Amino acid sequence: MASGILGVALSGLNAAQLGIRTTEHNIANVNTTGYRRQEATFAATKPAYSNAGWVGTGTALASVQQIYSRFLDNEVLRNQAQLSRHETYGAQATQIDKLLGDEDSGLATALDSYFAAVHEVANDPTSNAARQNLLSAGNNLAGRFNTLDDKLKSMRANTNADISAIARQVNVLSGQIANLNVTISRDEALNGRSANDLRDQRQQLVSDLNKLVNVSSIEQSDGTLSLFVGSGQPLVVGAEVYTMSSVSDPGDSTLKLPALTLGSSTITLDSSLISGGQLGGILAMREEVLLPALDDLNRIATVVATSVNTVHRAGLDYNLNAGLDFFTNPVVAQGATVGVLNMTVTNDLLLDRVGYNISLTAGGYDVTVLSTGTTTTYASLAALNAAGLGFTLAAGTPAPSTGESWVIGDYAGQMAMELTATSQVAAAGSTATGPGDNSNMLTLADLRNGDLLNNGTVNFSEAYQETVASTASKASEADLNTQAFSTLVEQATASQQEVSGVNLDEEAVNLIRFQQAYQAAARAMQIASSLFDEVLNAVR
Amino acid sequence: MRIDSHSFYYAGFAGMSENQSGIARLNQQIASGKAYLAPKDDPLATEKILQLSNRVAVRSQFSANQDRAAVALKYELTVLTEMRDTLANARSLIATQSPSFDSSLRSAHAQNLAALARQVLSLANTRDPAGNYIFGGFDTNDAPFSNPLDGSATATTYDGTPITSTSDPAGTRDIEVDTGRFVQVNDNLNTVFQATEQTDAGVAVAGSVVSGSDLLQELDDAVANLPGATLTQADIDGWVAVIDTALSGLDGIMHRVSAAYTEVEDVRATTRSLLLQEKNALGDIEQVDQASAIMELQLRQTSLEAAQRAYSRTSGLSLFNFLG
Repeated sequence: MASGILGVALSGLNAAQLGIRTTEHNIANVNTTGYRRQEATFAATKPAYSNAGWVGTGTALASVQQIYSRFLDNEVLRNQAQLSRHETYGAQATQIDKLLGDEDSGLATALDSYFAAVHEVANDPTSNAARQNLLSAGNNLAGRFNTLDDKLKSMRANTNADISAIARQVNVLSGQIANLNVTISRDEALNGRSANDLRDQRQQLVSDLNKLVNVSSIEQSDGTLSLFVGSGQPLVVGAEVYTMSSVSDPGDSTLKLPALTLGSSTITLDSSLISGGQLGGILAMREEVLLPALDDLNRIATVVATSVNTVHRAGLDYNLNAGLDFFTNPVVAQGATVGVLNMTVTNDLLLDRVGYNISLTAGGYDVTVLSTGTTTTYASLAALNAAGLGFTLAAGTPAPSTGESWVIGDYAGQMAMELTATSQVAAAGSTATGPGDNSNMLTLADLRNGDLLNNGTVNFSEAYQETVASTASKASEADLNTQAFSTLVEQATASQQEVSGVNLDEEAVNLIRFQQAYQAAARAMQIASSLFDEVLNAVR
Repeated sequence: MRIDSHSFYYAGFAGMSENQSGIARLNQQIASGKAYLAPKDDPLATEKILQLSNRVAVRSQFSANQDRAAVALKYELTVLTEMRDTLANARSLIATQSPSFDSSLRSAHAQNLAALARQVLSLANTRDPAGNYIFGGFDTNDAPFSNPLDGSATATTYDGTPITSTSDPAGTRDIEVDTGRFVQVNDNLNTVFQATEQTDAGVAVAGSVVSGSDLLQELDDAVANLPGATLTQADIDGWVAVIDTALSGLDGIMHRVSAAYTEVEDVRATTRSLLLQEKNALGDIEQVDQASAIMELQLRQTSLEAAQRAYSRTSGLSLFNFLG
């Protein structure tokens, strides 16, 4: 009975100490990312039986609980994955948006000045200054195409590097999560209690991972967490990690895609499977902004060069010699090829993600789609032209010979001037008797108004405007989504923190509460002790 | 409602950060004078800006073309007017002659006529300020008409673009003054001079449509024969008829040039007013409204200061301050 009195007081002291310790733990972790506040709960210990009834025996710590809501945690995760996606998308789309829309790097002003220079030659066909100005404007136009192509292609290379880097980072995080899975399941099996702080760490790793790629998670009965990406491809199952890597896109060898290794097989993940996180943002941005812009650029460059060259070849230069190509041929000769193929674009959608390698063999013209490697052989140019590839080809001078090859569709980066001297500008029409004729320049100037692109619906400037506008709307959409999701993340985080976050004032109150409980228990112990003293004194 | 310390301290931060980025953006807008810093700021306005810029560029070029055309036409008209006056003088000089006049008087007049003939030839070989011959079609590097004018009545040779028909002579050049609207800015004077068409090498051009009398040859003939004793009234009437034909051809050309000049002036006025409208429209869309931008800047500054003040007031609040 006497030891009972001390024991009850002691249990009170212990409980107050544990309470203070939990409060201190909360205070210490007030700035720890992913920490969820803990609460010590106490329960009365098993009472002792006396004749009069059950007598209390004190208190004991029932559990240290994490205060959280799984629903709110998941809400934060889901919105965070979308926020990361749109942030990444927006940041990269903005770069392209600025590049294309800028007066100094965009195509609009270069196209305008080129055609203005054509008009100046038309106004004064014999002026050396006007002709020189046209050569410079042509050079500038080709240079703009080169720069834009170069910038977009280096962004394409960057997305490939980003995908590899993200895959490596994903592997690091999923490895750590698998390790924690092992520790948590072992500790919880041993003690039967929730391994709070380890779970916080794991949840934080999941949150980090989720910013890279959106994952769905299922907690197993043994306390381990299984993570899945895409349409249910496993990333972590218990202690098992499935490695993410980057592989070449089977449809386009210039692109990398993330992939998962499941045993002996590899699953490629494309933008339809990865919809969130930075990875989702990069894949979608590449698909919706970067590659279309690159296609548009190459298409405009090819059509500008073919149409300008065709008109220019039909004229006569200052010395009444037949006009040459103005720009280098968009049917780009490969290696030692000297033969010339002149292209006429019949359907400019030909260059959507498709480039062609054309080689002349004994059997005819082999046309290989660059991205897929599929080859079709046509016995003659007539047969090739009849195939409806979106363009027709005609043999130029010198005529193509067996063993030669050309590439179509990757032109913007290598567009350059074919003309070198002012006298080569073919201002005069084919029947001119002197250099004063400007009829060919008038025809050339008229190309500006010609609806030569997008299947004969828009002219050069309009086609470029469409590209800029579509990039701009994608970038602006991403910005709006970023704003929307950062508000959602903010709200979800606020709700989550309302439940799980540490409030220092609250902890101060708890400290005082436990301090007072401790003081009271100590007082009780002092009284128990003085009771003993009374008894001892009585028998002395 | 429970709130955690982190949210409590950071609640004011969002307001500060948003106001700061707003101020940075307004600063950029005010400094650059542009309402849109990147196309994504307003994709629709961007497309409109690009369209308008393109239209302004095209129209500015047309405006430059019109200036060129106006200068060329005015220059040509001046030369043609002088040529007409010279020919009119020559006509009246010849027409007032009579076989009955004293030979020495006729000889003096012949000298005058020779000077006028040389003047006509020189005008026919006029060059523009850039040194191009303007009346010989496309062959701008070679003097189109040559005749010794030494009294030998030699046929004039024409080394320019051969005329293929008198109604639509070859060798004329157009300038585009508006989309699809072309103005002819030079004329082939061999429709008036009717000289023998030759290539650079002096070979006669096959299929030449020249059929009238050679103006300069006839004038030279007049110079040679005016003082002679065998001069008849029929000779005089013949020369006057040749000059009349030439004058009427020249008049036709001058009418064409005047009409073309009027047309260019007309298009010029339209282009100028449209260009002004488009530039204004472009400015309205593209340029930032400085006054409202500065007002907004002040508003932003005020709310940033409010957020900062609120933060400094609340950040020190803690129960721990009172324990101890």
